[in-house]
Amino acid sequence: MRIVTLEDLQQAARAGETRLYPPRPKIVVGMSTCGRACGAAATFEALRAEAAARGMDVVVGETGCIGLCQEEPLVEVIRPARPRIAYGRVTADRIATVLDDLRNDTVTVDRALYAMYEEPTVWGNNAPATPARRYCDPSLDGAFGAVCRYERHPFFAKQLKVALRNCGFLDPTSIEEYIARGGYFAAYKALTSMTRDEILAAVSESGLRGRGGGGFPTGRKWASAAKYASPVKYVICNADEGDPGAYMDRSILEGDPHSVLEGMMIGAYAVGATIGYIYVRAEYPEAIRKLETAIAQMRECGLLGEKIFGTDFSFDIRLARGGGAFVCGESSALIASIEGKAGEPRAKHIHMAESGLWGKPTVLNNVETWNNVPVIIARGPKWFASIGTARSKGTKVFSLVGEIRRTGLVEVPMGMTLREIVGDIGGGAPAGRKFKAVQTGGPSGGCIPEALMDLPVDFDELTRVGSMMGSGGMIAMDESTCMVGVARYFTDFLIKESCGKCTPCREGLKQIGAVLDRIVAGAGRPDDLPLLERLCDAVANASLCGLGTSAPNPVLSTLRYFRDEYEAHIRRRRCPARSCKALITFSIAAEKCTGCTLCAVRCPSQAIEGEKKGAHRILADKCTQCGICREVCKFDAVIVE
Amino acid sequence: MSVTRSTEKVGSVLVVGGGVAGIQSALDLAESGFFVYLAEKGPSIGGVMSQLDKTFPTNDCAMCILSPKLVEVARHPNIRLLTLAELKALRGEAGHFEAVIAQRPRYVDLTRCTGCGQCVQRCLVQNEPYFPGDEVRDARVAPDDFSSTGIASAGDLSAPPAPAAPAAAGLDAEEAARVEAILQRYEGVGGAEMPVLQDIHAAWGYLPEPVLRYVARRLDVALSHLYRLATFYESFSLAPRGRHIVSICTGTACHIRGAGRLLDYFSSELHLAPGETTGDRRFTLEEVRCLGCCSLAPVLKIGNAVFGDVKPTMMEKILAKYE
Ligand SMILES: Cc1cc2nc3c(=O)[nH]c(=O)nc-3n(C[C@H](O)[C@H](O)[C@H](O)COP(=O)(O)O)c2cc1C
Ligand code: SF4
Ligand code: FES
Repeated sequence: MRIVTLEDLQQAARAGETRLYPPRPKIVVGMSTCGRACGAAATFEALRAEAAARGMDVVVGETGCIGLCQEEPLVEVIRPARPRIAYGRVTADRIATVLDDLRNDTVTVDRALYAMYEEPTVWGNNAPATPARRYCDPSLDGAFGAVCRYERHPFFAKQLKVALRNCGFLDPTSIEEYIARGGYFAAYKALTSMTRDEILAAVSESGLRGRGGGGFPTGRKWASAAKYASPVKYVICNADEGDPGAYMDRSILEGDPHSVLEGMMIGAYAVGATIGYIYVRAEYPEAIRKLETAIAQMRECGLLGEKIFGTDFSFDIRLARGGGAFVCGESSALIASIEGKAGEPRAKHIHMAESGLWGKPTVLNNVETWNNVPVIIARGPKWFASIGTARSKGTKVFSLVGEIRRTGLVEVPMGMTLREIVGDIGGGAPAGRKFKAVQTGGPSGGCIPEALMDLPVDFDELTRVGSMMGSGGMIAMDESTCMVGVARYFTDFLIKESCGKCTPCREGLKQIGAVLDRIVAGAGRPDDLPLLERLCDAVANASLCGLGTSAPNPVLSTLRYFRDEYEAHIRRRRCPARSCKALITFSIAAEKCTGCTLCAVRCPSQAIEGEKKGAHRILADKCTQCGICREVCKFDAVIVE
Repeated sequence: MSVTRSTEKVGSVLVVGGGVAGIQSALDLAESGFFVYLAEKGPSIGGVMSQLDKTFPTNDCAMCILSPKLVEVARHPNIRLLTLAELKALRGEAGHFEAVIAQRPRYVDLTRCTGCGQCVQRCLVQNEPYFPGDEVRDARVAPDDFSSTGIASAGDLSAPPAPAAPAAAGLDAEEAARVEAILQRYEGVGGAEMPVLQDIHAAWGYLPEPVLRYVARRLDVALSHLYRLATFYESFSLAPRGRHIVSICTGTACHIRGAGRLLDYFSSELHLAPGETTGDRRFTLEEVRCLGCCSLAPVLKIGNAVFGDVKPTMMEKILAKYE
């Protein structure tokens, strides 16, 4: 199928439409990596086999990440004149309910997560594709009416899906389905009816800022690369997603790869580039597979290659795989890696817009940045700029993880407060625990305490309180997380990942790490805190690349908001969170212990003794504080102090 | 031993070998007032330490320790440096030796060389990195090197130096064909080193040295360049690994939800630290930064299967599935 004219696109859209919403019932399984980790592949096979065995006429298809990752494997059922119903935790042995419900035209209310009557959509009526899909009359009652409505589900109610517009709604291996949801119409519009300057102006006016962490205005970046005349220019998509605890980019690539490719195509046209690279980290094999499929489909349809949409524009996209180095997310290191060198950053005397990959003008943007571009073109910059705060426009995807009730992928307008995101969408700390802080920005970010929870989340506010937007990991921590431990964790991470090119970062971080090590080991000295601050200052000011300059943030922000925890470690030799092994002891409450012997059997160090049916004891000299006894004890008899 | 004897100045000292031990001896002697001849077979001093990244056990940067010493040797008025030099004969007794030293030509005018390094880059003879399991070139156990540097056997200096290692590219036809198939995928692609190494790593499970040699020749890059990539990027291994690769995520979400305790499990039950392989080659343990399944933390990957919400108490059952 070649796509050249608008008619071709519309025809593909119609084909996709029938794939998306076939006349017979359809069951879709969320099959991105997180779903697979919970057994989605087995669920998929089991559904197919069982439906066939029962002689049911259904389509079983796959989709990307639906968002509520905690409830994986997620399965949705679509059938004519009924709301779209989602079921959570459908492992292969629990598929019967889904199929029974489908056959009996009903829904088991307590197994269903939500019922969707109309798809949330950002394309609205402005887009050439079909308007928001309506599944059925919202006034339906009976069992269906009793299921929580999608738009009232606490996890989804406050979200606004722009970047995730297609994730979970289409089969990422089908280009037709993407086109049916409005895909490639923006590229068509850009290439056939807009000049380069118009596109550059639109992106500038939209106020889009880079989603990779720094928040650099995308329009400005593009305009400076467009300015240089060169027969060869490059656009690069940074899919290295190195921040641990963040997986937005993976979900977008696995769930909606075409949106990123379309964004790159528009960007390439605007700046005059002919080749695009996607640099994907090697830890994301599924994303690489999805991208390979998508790129092959684009080639087949003539959306890559020469004379795209019959214009003079030629463009091709190549895939580069990372090698497991965090620093390769940094722009100049990433370029070195694509060029086949070790990924070491270099000093940026010369801008990438002038001399980047192979010395040619280059534009590098994050996955989510590229993914936003088609929406801006389709709906116009004003629409985009109407979302968000004064200086941060649009939405941002966060991965909400850690010690929190509902974990998953959420997308909210910029400016929503942390309390709404963590408390309302995430549901706050797990039952019986107390929320303490949220960490944003990965190893370059910081910890934001409960007291600042009313902070509106945008690029500038987060920087102001000593953290960073980063790529969007949001890790909730409760009272069982030691903040000194968190600072040490990030410092260790950065010591390992520092490329070693410049001394302040390589050596300074090691010194910070040594001080933190002795604090958590209970050997902190009274003047360690000022020492830490001095070291942090040196590393931040003297390092070459962003890794080094932002490396002290986790230490500084915890020092700023949780100084009392540091002091408890140093002065009282106590870990308030009871997590630093050197500062805690395990014991068994004799009155609670029933002598079931389970802990004694499971203890890997044979540190527990006691008679059957009699109270047990932990031998302090053998105990390694591994915590297994506390985990296996059914009577909550293990005390940690 | 009389007091007069031990304080008596004996004039000068010859230190043979310009590794860090020789350098430190030379500096200490020179500081104590002796005149030192420091003889080194190679073109420059520094030895093995200058090739190391970190030192044991403190993880200090090797060059940070070594380079000030190198400069000091060059500047010290009491040290005379003899490079490309070999001891041919030694006569005399303690306190009064006579040494015959042969110095090979350098072909570089040291008064004019600015150390720009261009010649090194253009040199047609590649430098030879060290591979694990490669005892012949391992500095600690290199018997050949020992005898040729050692005082015992003063070899014939007119003979060309023995090659550092047999350059056997030891690839049989079948292996060569496999490498060729991979190379062909990236024919004419800029920066092909990375994808080629990645594909080789996927096919062999690690980067075997003979294959790297072959690739270096075919891509026309220095072997040391491939070696640098192989050691810079975490995902490459130069040594064979176990049948099952267990990757424990130590990303932030997994860290705060107990990834450390999974690592503890491996160290206490299987005596396995990250990067190590069990004796029976059943498992190799690795740490990864984040598998992108943070909502299921703590996460663990074995081969291609990802397990979420793993507790140490579940490990035994999970591992039992892998033989
Ligand atoms: C140490 C370091 C790691 C980085 N890692 C990433 C990353 O994983 N993904 C990313 O998109 N940007 C990362 N960045 C930011 C990039 O350098 C670059 O600013 C960004 O990709 C530009 O795209 P944007 O303008 O769309 O944000 C990193 C920066 C530094 C200094
Ligand atoms: S700051 Fe750190 S990571 Fe960046 S160039 Fe220097 S050593 Fe490398
Ligand atoms: S932090 Fe472990 S999967 Fe992301």
